[in-house]
Amino acid sequence: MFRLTCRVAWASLVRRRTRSIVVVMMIAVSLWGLFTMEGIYGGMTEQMINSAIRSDSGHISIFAEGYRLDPDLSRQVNNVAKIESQLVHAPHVSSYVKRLKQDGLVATAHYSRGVSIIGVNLLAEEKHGKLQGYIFKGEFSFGRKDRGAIIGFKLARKLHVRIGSKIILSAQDSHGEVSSVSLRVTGVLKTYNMALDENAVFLAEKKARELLAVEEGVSQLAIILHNDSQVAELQQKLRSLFPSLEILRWDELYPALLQSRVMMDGFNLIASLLVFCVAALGIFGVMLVSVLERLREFGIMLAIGTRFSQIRNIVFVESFFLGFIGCGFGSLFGAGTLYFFKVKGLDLSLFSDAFDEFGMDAVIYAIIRPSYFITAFVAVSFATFLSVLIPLRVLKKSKPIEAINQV
Amino acid sequence: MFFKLAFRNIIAARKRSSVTLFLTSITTALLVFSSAWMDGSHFTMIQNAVEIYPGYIQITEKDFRANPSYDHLIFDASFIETKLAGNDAIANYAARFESFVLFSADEKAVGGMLAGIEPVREKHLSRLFSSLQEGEYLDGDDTNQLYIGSELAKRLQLEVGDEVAFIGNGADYSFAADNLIVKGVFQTGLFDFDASSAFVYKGYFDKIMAAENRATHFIVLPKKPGQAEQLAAAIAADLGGQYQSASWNQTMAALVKAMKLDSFFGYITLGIIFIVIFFVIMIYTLLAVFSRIHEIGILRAIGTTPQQILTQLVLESSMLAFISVVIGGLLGGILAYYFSIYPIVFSGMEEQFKQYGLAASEMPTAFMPLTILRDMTVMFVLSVLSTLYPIFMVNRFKPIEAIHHV
Amino acid sequence: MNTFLTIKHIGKTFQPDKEVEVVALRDINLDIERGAFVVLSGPSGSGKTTLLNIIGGLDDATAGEVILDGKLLTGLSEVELSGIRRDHIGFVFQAYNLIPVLTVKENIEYIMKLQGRSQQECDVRCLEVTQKLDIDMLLGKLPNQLSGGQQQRVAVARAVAATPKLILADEPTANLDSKTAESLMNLMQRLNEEEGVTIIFSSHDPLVIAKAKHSIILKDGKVIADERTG
Repeated sequence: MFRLTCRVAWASLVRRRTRSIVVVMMIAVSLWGLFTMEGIYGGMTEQMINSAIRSDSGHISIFAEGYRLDPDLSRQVNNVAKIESQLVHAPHVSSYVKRLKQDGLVATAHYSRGVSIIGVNLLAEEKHGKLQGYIFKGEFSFGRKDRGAIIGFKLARKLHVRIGSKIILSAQDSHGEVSSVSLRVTGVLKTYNMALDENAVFLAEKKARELLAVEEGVSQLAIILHNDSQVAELQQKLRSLFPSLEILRWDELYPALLQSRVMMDGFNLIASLLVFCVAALGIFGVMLVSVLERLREFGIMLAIGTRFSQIRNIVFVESFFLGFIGCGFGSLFGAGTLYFFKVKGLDLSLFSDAFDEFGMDAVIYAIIRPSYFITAFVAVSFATFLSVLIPLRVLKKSKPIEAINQV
Repeated sequence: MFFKLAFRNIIAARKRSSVTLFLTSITTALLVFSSAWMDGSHFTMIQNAVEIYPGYIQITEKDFRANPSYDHLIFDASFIETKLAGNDAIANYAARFESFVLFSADEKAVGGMLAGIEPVREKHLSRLFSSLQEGEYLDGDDTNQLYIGSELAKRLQLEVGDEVAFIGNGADYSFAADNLIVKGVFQTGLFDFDASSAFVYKGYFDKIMAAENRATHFIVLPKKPGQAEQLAAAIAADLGGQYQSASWNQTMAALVKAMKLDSFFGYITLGIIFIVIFFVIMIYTLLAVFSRIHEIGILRAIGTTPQQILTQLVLESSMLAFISVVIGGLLGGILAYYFSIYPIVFSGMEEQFKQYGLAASEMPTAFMPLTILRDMTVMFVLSVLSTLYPIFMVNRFKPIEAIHHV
Repeated sequence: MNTFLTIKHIGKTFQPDKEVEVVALRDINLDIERGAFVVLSGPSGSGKTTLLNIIGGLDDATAGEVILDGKLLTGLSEVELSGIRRDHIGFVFQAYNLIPVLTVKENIEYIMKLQGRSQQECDVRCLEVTQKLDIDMLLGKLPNQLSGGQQQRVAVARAVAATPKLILADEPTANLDSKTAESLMNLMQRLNEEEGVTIIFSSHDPLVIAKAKHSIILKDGKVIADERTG
């Protein structure tokens, strides 16, 4: 019976070919657009979040108490070895890095700027956040004897320095004295993390310790996990182990990024809702007319003993066919487009200044989430179901048997 | 006769007409409002960014913008003063001298900008005065009094009346340092700016920094801010090749471009929604036209040419589209107008806005009749275009096929 | 004899499927004089409608030629055929087929407007025709406010108002009761005499067939009788 229903439904769709094709195209094109939009906007947001995690916050960052409000050199994480022993043994942890930070002033012969001085271990940073991938000019190294510095590209632009330029870093050391060190720029970073691109001067941890007169202790421990679903769990665990430290997730450190993601999701949701409502209206129109046109046909079917429920099923199946075929093509094209942009990236270098302003990469790599397709499938099913309710009521009211005798 | 027929057919095909009317007018309203919203918010953002500190027009030495060092200062500020004073199109202007120094207070040392400004004129040129949070704004007879950004003050743990030292370079590259007393704290809402800027009276600054009659730049407020571009060009011509005069369009080029990018994404998203909507309009046109295919066949049989049928059907969709875009345009226009007077306020989104360098949470829409007309035209064309396929399709039938079409 | 319409070796074959071939008309040859009042009769499926459609340029013959008033219709473009239908041929259909959104007067004027006549001309001609057909009191009504007989009279008025040389009517009385049918036929007969317009209609109603002066009988796509009685 079900097969027969499907055959009848299919046949009537084929009979009204143009109409069916237009409806399928409408669904396919709108889903294709939606998927592409979601994947690209999602990719944009994730890229920003990813940059922040890789270059700064990790999934979780550990600071001394009060450091976030007052990032002073006196507030340091001191029991580093104890924390490390925990991290080394935690199964979720992929990598972690230690950083020493202090605000200071960078000066060239002509310019000076307030900056954030960050002492790091490049090898660890590379293993941790693949920082080398962000090198924009120069090399990922502090040179021989650690006399080099890697700085953010916007800072480099403002200071008008090139690779090899001399810069002088000044900062207050742990004794409250202003001390300075002279370094040469060995690399320029473009991390798409605005705070770093505008303010960061990375130097070797050893140099930083000399400059700031800090022997042990770090300002920040950034941790990256294998799987970001375990972040909250690890945070809880570390908090219970080290109650005196500030242990924060990336989204607590970069609330704006999380807000972007929430806003983007909300925005996508509204756009999708609009699209689905309008698409449902389209299916509704077609199904209503197609039911009205066949009143006579249905009348004959009823007259020869078909039950109303069977006719109802035919109408449902027709509508679902339209929806699912459209959904299938839309998903196929959408996934294809997203895959293309995931691999090749969407190059919007035309707007590269603007992306720099927003702190984003002008080449956007799309993301593909199964949830896009699942949501769309559910929404299309729902839309097709809703759109035949009224046509079916019309059909029931119109007493199709009487229609046989009408011309 | 075609008009009469078109009109009656629109009335007769109620379902198609109402769906088209509804969708097209809503879509037009959506587009009109979105444009007004995007233009408005972008305008507000740029205006904010411009008015907080950078100003509509900046005058610098010709190479300063490319290479902002003390080698490219304005070395004869009084020459520019006289020139600007004689220009009727200028509402106000002032000189500034910006330098980067290390502030140090008790146990804290933070790098930041220290700039000498003309407090009285500056009141009319930027939002420094109106952003006063605590204490007092600067005066024209101040000495070592400092007007400091709230975040910078926080980082240095300074309150009004506290003392802070600075170390920097004078205009002659000499070492310069002094003790300053916090006179006032300002908060513009632009986090970065508030976290890195402090100001003193330029008369005092010039003595300490050896900067008499020098400036890094002048800022100019035009009488008509909308004509900043032209005024900047006029000033440039007046000052000669030694100086550069740039409007906000150049000084904030990245922000302007960023806003364009935002519009670009906005229109893409709208575009996707529009595609679906016009598909639906096409579907309803298809249904309506095919429900009349028999009638069209008869018209053809009694001698109406395909051309005339085409005219007839296109006239119908054009009339529908026209009514729709007028309704939609009015609706969107009213909304755009309303929200230009009573702006939408975003509370709780400051964090998000700060990320984009925004200090405002109030976003009026831009009510611009020309843009509304442009959007209405676009929607009219799209609406008519989406009906063409069904119309051409039905017109391909031979009369006899049309009459017998099921 | 003043031949107005010549049909030469007309054949029509439908091919709904690759393997199926239906012959609707075979080798039809007819001559019809100016001002004739012709009936096409025969059982259903004998090809009456197909022949009328071919004469009217609504359908293409697969073989043969149609010559209307000395002009060869076969092979003309769709636009040329539209022009010929508009200026020279009037149609009356079984299902009336008035334009539902137009009033009676507007329906009647439609073709005249297409012909580019002035409103004044239309008014005059419309009044003249509707008076002849006795529907001049219905001018402001819409088609769905009329009875079947009234609608068909409006359809005849529409066909005749544009002063065609030829009126083709496919089963004009099929949907009407016999009394209405007879009165319609009388009116058509009168138009034929007064306006001098050639009328070809199809029917299988003996009462209606009897009104004709020239009777052609089709069977299985062939002419089996071609008699002039008037």
